[in-house]
Amino acid sequence: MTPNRKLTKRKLSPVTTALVLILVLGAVLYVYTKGLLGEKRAPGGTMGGGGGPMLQPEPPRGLPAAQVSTVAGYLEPGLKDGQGWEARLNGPAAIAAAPDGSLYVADARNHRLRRIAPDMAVTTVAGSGPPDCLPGAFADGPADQARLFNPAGLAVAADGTVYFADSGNHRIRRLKDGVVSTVAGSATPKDALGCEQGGYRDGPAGAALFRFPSAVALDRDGTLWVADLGNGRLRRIANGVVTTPVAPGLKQPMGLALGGTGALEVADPRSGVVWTLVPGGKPAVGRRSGLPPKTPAALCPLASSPGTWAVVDAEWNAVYLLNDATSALLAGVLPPQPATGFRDGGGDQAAFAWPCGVASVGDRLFVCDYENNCIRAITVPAGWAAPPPLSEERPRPGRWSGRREGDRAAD
Amino acid sequence: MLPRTIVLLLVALVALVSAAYVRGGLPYAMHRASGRTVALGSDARGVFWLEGDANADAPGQSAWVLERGRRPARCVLTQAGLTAVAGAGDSLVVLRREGFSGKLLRVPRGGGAAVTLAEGLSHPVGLAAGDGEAYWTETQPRLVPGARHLPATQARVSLRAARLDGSGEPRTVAWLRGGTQEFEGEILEAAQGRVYLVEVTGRDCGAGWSRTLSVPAAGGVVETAALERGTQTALLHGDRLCWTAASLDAGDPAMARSLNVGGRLPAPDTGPLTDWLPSAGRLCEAGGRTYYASADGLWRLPEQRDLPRLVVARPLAGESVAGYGGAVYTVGGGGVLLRWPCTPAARLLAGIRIR
Repeated sequence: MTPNRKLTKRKLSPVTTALVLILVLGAVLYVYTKGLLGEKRAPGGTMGGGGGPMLQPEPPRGLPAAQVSTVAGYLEPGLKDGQGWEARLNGPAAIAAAPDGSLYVADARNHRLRRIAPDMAVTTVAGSGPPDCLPGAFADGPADQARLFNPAGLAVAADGTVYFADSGNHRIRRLKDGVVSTVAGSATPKDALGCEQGGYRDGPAGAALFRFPSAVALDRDGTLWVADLGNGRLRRIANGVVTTPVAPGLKQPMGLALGGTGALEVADPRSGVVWTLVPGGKPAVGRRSGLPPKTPAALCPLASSPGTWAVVDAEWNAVYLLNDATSALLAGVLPPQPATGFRDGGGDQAAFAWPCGVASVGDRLFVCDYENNCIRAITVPAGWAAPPPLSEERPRPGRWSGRREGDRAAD
Repeated sequence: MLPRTIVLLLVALVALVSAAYVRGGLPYAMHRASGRTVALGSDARGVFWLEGDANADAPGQSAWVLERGRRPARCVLTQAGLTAVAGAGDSLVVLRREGFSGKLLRVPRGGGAAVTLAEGLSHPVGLAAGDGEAYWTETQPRLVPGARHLPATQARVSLRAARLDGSGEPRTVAWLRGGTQEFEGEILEAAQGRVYLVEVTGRDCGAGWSRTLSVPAAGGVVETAALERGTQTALLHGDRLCWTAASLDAGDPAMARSLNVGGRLPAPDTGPLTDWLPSAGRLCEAGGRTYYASADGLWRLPEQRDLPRLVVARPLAGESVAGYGGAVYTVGGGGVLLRWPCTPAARLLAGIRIR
């Protein structure tokens, strides 16, 4: 019987075996060293020269030296007086510093004004009625009986009088000696929902009309400037008369602040710039290097550094510092899309949820964190305008083909 | 000594009862939908739901009822754009959306022509009926863009009411917090002169908040019965209000829920009833007990502070659940309406096919 040739073992020559082993080993080494296993490659492939690992640019971040902390209220909405975190706020919309070092807060959804003492004790100073519902109501009188409707921007005079924009009531009001009174604005027809619609009319303060005023600023001579948000105009109240200064370029004035030179700074989120309005002049936009706020909502002068402004960007959940030459992201992170959060710590880690008001006391900023229902404090580092040094401990996480948008080091 | 025949009969009876009990624990298909079940609810009269096509975002196209002793299920209304249904005595009330607008319809459970109770509604969402009225929410669009911190400029949500007999004009019961494009949450119940609802706000700015609200049906001050972080659900059961909350105990509160219990009217929170419930699920009441249907099964919740008990260890569609009689109804794969007997009596009767 002849043996089946197919079943017979064939001997491989040692040379062939060695060659096959070398080829397999070489292929494995090639794949391993080139990182081809399970790694995405950027467009361009190996032939285009751009075949590095696919990287996402690191989002611009605030300054690590800026320390963010929560000083009043804590996430849960509510209406409760108390010390710091024990107090409850419900949508703090605006904040202003008083000469005595205290802070006044427009607690919008509670329809009340709150005061934060220097020791962070929170008390209610004006407003009454049910919180957290629409509509609010309008009533002048003793502060604990007055009715407000979504109070917003505040300004505190040297004598402690608090002026505020009562946005839902379309009026400018003040709190003085425990009594709330109306400075400007009058009743307007109500809509089908029972809310006043607001309007637009210049003239004597008692007959003038506003529509959702969002901020006020008080001049040295007692002139009140109003950001008339719903009408998209800047309004001026002087000697009991309301006028509308010509301010071409303004689209949606939302935040106001006066600087030491008498120039009015206007935060305009729709045009995405901070306008400077010098007396008798037209609005102008400063030319600054660095990373500017995209949708500025409110601003204040930095008490410890004349000529420096703190600006909050509500939509992008960030806080900026500006001077005549530079604009810098102080606290917050700017991912490709707006992202909210709640995190204390360094400015490069901090997270906010619709920061819409800011005030300054010394070298600290106090920010209304609207959706987090709290007030955050930020210490401003001395050298904020200088580019941060490139640290050995925080290497860039990849190779960069160009400048990042807002890369402070690259600026 | 009992006669041997009687003993054998007893043994056979016990075996039959045991078999029936075991068999009754299995789900029973009550109805097979032609498409997708959009809403599933129940009241003292039976179970009702809407059916639409298989598209996940499509509204319902027909309203169905299933009542005790009256099988099979009956289609009582066929119209496009149905989004919500609620029981109202001898009738069902149904919300029909037409783009951002909509109308409220009443249709007899036994079938018949639909009556329009209200129309021209703006972004109508949510529906409940009780005390001779139907309740739903409407949202008016925002007035000024980009001014979230001025709530008066934002979208306004109102709780609205209309008489079930069609008399009078629809009225506004209360204003809710709003701010969102449309109401997010659910209207739980309208009874004893109050309307209970869960309003979810701030979800576009983090986890958001769920507040369980109690509103006088005649209008008045909105009272907050419970306020919890995240999207939660609630249930009124007798004089108790049960609501879910982020877990107090789990390592990751986003993955588990606790269940709190308090008085029906705004009352001090009596504290957590149980913990470690799966994060996504809905509460329902069946046979006098409270259940929690989630992706990993059906949990029976304790009457006193204790651990929940898993009574059905099968995946359930957590978003569509209703309790009626001694059973919980869910929607299974292929649009099948499943009945899960939960009480021993219901299991036994189901086992011998008495439903």
